[in-house]
Amino acid sequence: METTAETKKTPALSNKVVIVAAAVIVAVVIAAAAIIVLSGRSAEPDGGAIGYAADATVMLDENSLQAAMDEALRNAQNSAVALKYKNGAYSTDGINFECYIANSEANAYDMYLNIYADAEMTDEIFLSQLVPPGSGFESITLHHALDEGDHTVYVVVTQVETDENGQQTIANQVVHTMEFHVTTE
Amino acid sequence: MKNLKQRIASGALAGALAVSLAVPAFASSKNSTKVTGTYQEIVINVTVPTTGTAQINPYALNVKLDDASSITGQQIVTMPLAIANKSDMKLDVNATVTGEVKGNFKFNPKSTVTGEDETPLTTNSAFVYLEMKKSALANADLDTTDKAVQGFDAEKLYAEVAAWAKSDYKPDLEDETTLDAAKVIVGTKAAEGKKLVTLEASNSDGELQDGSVALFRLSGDCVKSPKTAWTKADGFTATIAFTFDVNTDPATP
Repeated sequence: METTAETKKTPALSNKVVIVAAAVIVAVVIAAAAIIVLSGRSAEPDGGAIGYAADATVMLDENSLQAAMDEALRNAQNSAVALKYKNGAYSTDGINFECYIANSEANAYDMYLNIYADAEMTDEIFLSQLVPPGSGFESITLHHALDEGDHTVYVVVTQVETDENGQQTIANQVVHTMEFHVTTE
Repeated sequence: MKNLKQRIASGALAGALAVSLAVPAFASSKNSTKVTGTYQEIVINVTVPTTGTAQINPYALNVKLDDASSITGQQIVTMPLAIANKSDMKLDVNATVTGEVKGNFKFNPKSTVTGEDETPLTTNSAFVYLEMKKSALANADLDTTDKAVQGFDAEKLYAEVAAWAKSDYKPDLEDETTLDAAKVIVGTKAAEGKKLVTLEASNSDGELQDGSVALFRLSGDCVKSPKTAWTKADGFTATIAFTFDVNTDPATP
């Protein structure tokens, strides 16, 4: 009877082991995927929102106000971004543009560009790879065509700092506009 | 016969006129200098500070920048922010500002400071605007050490910011003459300001000249004692996109 009982218990135990093992594997896979995804996106704006703005919070006492200013001043020490570009970019098909947008040699960090067709920055028309200081673009191809005419576009310049482990974080972000012109030949 | 002679004579005259016109035309064509006018875009070379921080300071408390300089009496306090033109052309600085609110915060489109005959505001609101001012900072004030702030000698930058007095901007939205085009009122919709300041060109070596640098800040006022008390969750984010236009007007100061 005992043997039978033990025999009956064994498959149940095996199932538990299999379930636990499977759960561990799934957890490891999810964790690994999360790490890969998160590390891959660490240099991208948070959740699609762009964090290069003047952020203001309420300060109700002198110590909090001073602490906030002190922190802002510490962060400001390496926060200037040199922009080097020509205001106009030109296209005859609305997709391929001749332009001049450089990561100034005066900058310390690599940068990437997002270009948006609207002031609210919801319509992304270009996303670049990382560009080292002293390099840039003389032509770009947009995600989708702009209509014939003149367009004010919003160029988000994001500087990326890479640490010794290869981890990339956003160092600085600024926004400027350019004029994209589409003419038919 | 007479008619025929007249026709021949007038034909010959017409021919002579055509030939005499043709000669200088050919001569002109042979010796002309062909000038092709193509607009060359100027390379804009500017230095812009990145993410700025501002504080809503309902009690207008003083805040120190360093031992010598403080920002005093301002309800919207912005960290020092300087922009520099290293291009060899004067630049007009324009800006588009878009605000986003947090917590109970609301943007008020006009000053929250009410007159004696008006009902005081009780919402968690602030009147916020972007403004710029030419700075006296120039090439001699650049700092390449790790104490620099946005590339400038911190003490000099702080002294300039501290000396920039609170502006008492109270536009009446129904009276356009009270609106200042060089101040951009911040709201949740994108607002554009034209020619906030004109930056002088740097010299041919890229060295900043007098007027090549400007300061900018978010300024304004806020309700001191709203019906629902202010909390740290209340606030706003203002995204500033700069537009730099080459200024070719010699009369621009």
